[in-house]
Amino acid sequence: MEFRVPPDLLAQGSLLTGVAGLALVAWGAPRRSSPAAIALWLGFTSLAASGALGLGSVPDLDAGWSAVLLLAALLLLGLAGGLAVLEFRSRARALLLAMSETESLRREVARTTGINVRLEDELREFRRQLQAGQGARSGQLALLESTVAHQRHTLEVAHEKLRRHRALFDGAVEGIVFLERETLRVAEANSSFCRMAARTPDDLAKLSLPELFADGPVRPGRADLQRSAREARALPASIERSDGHVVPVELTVAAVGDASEAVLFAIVRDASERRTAERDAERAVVELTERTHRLESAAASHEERTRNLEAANARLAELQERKDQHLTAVAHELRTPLTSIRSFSEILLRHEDAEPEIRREFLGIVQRESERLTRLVNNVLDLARIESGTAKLATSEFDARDVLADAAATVRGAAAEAQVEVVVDVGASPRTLRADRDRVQQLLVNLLANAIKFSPAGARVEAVVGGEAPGGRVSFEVRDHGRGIPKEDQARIFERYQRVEDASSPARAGTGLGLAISREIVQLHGGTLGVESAIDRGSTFRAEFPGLVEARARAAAPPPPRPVPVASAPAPERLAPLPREAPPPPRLPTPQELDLMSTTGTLPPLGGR
Amino acid sequence: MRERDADPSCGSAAPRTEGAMTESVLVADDEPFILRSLSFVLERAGFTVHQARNGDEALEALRNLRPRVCILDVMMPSRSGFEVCEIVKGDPDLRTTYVMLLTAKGQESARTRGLRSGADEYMTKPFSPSRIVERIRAVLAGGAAPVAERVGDEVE
Repeated sequence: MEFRVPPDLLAQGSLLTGVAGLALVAWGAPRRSSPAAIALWLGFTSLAASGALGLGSVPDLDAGWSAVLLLAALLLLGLAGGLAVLEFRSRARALLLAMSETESLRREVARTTGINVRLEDELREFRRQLQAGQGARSGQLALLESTVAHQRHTLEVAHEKLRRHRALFDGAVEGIVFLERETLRVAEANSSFCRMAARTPDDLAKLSLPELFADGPVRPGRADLQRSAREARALPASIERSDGHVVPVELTVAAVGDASEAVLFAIVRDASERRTAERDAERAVVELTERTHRLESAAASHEERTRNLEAANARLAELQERKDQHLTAVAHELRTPLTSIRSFSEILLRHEDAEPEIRREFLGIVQRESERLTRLVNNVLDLARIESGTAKLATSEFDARDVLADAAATVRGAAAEAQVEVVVDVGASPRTLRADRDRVQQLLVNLLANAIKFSPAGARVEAVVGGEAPGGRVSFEVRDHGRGIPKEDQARIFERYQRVEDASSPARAGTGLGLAISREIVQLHGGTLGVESAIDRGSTFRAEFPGLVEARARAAAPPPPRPVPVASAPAPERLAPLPREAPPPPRLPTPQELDLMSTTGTLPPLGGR
Repeated sequence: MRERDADPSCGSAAPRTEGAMTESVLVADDEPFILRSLSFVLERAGFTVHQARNGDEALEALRNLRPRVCILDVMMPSRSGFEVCEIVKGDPDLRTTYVMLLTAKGQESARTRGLRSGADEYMTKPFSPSRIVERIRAVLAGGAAPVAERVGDEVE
């Protein structure tokens, strides 16, 4: 055929083209296996085959096959070209789609964050070209494809993060506001903050954060906010809601970014519940403290009551013991004169033959001892009455000088017998005393008799009325020049049956109750009785009575419950009041009982129950 | 309470005829009237009476005069009757002395204290002087049951 003018050249060209095409396809094959590539591969294969056939059939021609293959190769190559164009078109479309998706992502990111991710200019240009339908190279396309895919991935990651953060932002219980750096205007607020402030985001955008704070002791200003940001410390504040309510909050301000371009944001915590809880807790603590105090004071008062009760108990026990001692002492004191009376009366009965002088002596003893017994009984009764509080003071106002004179007259006989001179100095002006006159006289007689008893024959006893200005305190002093009272005995002498003297002389036999009664009398009037004494120089007893004003006040107010006198033990500082009922006065033994006592040696039970 | 004294010897005429002139009794009490009354009845009963006004005097008299009987008041200055009694009963020379304690205290404690101190007899005030005389007569005659053995040697 004419056609084979240069048959070798054609065959060689076909073969070379086919092999080169195959090699090219093989090199590109791993990267793509599209229909266009397959067609291209088949085309080049056919081309190479036709070339090979052409070269082999030079001598005896089988040019028909070669031509068919060549034709097929050309057809296939044409097909491959068409397919490639189609494929390019579809990739371009896909790329455009991806780019538009990326663009929308970009727009959303830009919208939500304000960050504008700029597409590169090249990409824009390419897109423009693609949209304009202008051709582009395949390599360019692939590069763009990967760029777009990368960008899209980045945007997707960013978008996911943003979505999460947005969810966090919107779902947060705390209010979160972004503030414009200079004006502190609310750039963005989350829904919690909007709820907290009862305002829409648009309303908020018109305000600065400090404008949202309510007036009050804790209204942070700009400086406070900035300091909070620096020191990362929470600030107390109150937000005024649009409805006028005030919500206590606690806010933490923070800065994001570099110092120069930092964006401030505040995390605002609704503190109302917390404040309530805090207040509750505070109240609870206060109440608890109060209760603790109450309990403590209750415990203390309980302890004190216990102590008082114990003290009262101790005092009652002491009182009981003292009553026992008192009764024993009374019994002893009663028995001594009783023994004399009984002995001498018996002797007088049995020894009728005794000399008249002796009989007279014994009768005298019986008489004196009877008198002593009477005095003793009277004194015991007196003391019991005073101590039990049943002694009523028949108070009147009188001149203290008169009562001293009367007392001195009473002891005149005893003084003469003891050869003691009683000198009374009553002064010039009257001393008005408000007291029970008989009791005061009893006291003075006791003191004078005491002084006489301890004065040696020929000595003087001096009695003086003294005191302050008229209406003031009134005092009596009775001074003797006897042998004095040792210091250690001076307190003891006011106790019952504590005779310092030795009762060796019948004339001196006292009852042992005189000074105890005297002190009771003075104390009953709110006064004091004391003694000053020096050995061999004598003793001075001084009784001091309240002045008129004080005595009248005492008369107006009922006297306080009498403390139970315990002579030797100092009274505790604070003593619980003893039971209102005063203990019954010690009951004196009846004569029958006295008789019983003498034989059985037992005492009747205490008290008059 | 009145004791009926059946002892005729207590009568005023009897005492000195007994021939007990040499028997002496010590009476120790700080109450002068008790000393006086006891001395009177004991002297009338024919005893020689020594008086003491306190514990020390009583001890001194006991040592010097060696009375066979002593009446000691419990409540005495310087030494109580209990103390004197304890000394007497602890002294080999004096322990045979018949000790009669006198006290106004009738309580059991005083009685037991008295007996523990070794006293032979215990009398409470008020007492009957004639009864004391009667007791002392009985003791000196060897008729005091609880102490008969002890004082018996010297009686005869």
